[in-house]
Amino acid sequence: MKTVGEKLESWALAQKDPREQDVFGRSAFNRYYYAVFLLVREMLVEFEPDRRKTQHASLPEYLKDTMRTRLKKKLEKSRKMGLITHGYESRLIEKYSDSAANLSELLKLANDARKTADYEPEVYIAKSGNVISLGQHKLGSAKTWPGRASAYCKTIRSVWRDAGFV
Amino acid sequence: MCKLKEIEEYIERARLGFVEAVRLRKYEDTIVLYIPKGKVGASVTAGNTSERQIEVLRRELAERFSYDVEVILTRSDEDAELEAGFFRILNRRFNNRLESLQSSFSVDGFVNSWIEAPSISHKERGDVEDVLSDLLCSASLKMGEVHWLGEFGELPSALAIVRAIKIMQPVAVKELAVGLRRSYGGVSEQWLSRTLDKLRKKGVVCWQAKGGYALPAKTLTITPAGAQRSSSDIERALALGRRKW
Repeated sequence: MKTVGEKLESWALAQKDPREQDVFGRSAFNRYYYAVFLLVREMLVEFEPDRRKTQHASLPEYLKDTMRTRLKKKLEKSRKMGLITHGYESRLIEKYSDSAANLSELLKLANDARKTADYEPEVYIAKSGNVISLGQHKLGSAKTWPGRASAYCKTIRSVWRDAGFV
Repeated sequence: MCKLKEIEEYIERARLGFVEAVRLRKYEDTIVLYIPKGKVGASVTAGNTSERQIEVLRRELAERFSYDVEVILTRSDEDAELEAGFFRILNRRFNNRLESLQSSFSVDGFVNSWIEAPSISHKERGDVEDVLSDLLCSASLKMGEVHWLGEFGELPSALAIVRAIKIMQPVAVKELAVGLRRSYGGVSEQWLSRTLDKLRKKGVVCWQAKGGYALPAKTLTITPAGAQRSSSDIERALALGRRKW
């Protein structure tokens, strides 16, 4: 997905006709968002193999609030049973919160770009030198989304392993 | 367009200078507010806002204009450039052995980092963190948390052990060690034996003469209901240690 995004981005840059730039540029934003979305969904399926639909809109809150609460509950119980120390409990929660909050923000940001690209044709792709942007979003930043999402997902996975969820 | 002007004026009148931009997502009747992450702190100060203030603003706008309100936290170009710079410098120092570096910059100057560098050993991590700390210091920033990615750690946590027991129980130390070693390279039978002994004394695992270690009812309350034999490392362990019924 990320490779497709990069290809579309290079095509958008190469186009002289602004309409072609617009088409390629928007698709690139869309692909970069989906690269992130699929990474997150893949991670969630490991955690909940029975998970059916993953709603785009509710995903950020799910990561930041729902999952965090589940983690806290389990760790608190485990600490009370003497399985882990208070320090270990706080470190894991901190690690999770940090990564989940950042991932959640990234999803919201990327989803906003995708919605503009897909559903708001009246907002045009703008090109200034080598910088392609759509509304508040720059395509150069969008390129970094999958890498960032991957880092946060790996950290979240390791918290789940240490917490005995997976 | 009228509506958007109204909203922008409202924000200006309320002196909410931290709002970078406002947009209307017409097809969804949603107001989108863009706020730089660097302006969100624990409490409201000059030019900065807090999560609580953002929430209040969200509700006020929603009520006043009958639209949904979405808040997007943005990252500044400066932060992105700093992060790229730190990454390059670290890779010059450590021979291009870092695969990636992500940084999050909080309003109080603390920077948390996510580092992916599989070829850097646990011992060398301290060196990398020292250099990063110096770099941050030179940029008048402070080092927060450093999360090293992709590692399983050498040894499993007590909770990871408990989960493995749940799947394999009743399980002898030897079989359990093999299963855990697929993911945690540092597990030896001696270490595992000692660890299990401590857990047994705390009453969180129990030992049966026939079969080995198992979980008492109270520990089962904290293990996930769906702990499945589908976990690949467990599958392999089971395949290796076939029971002779």
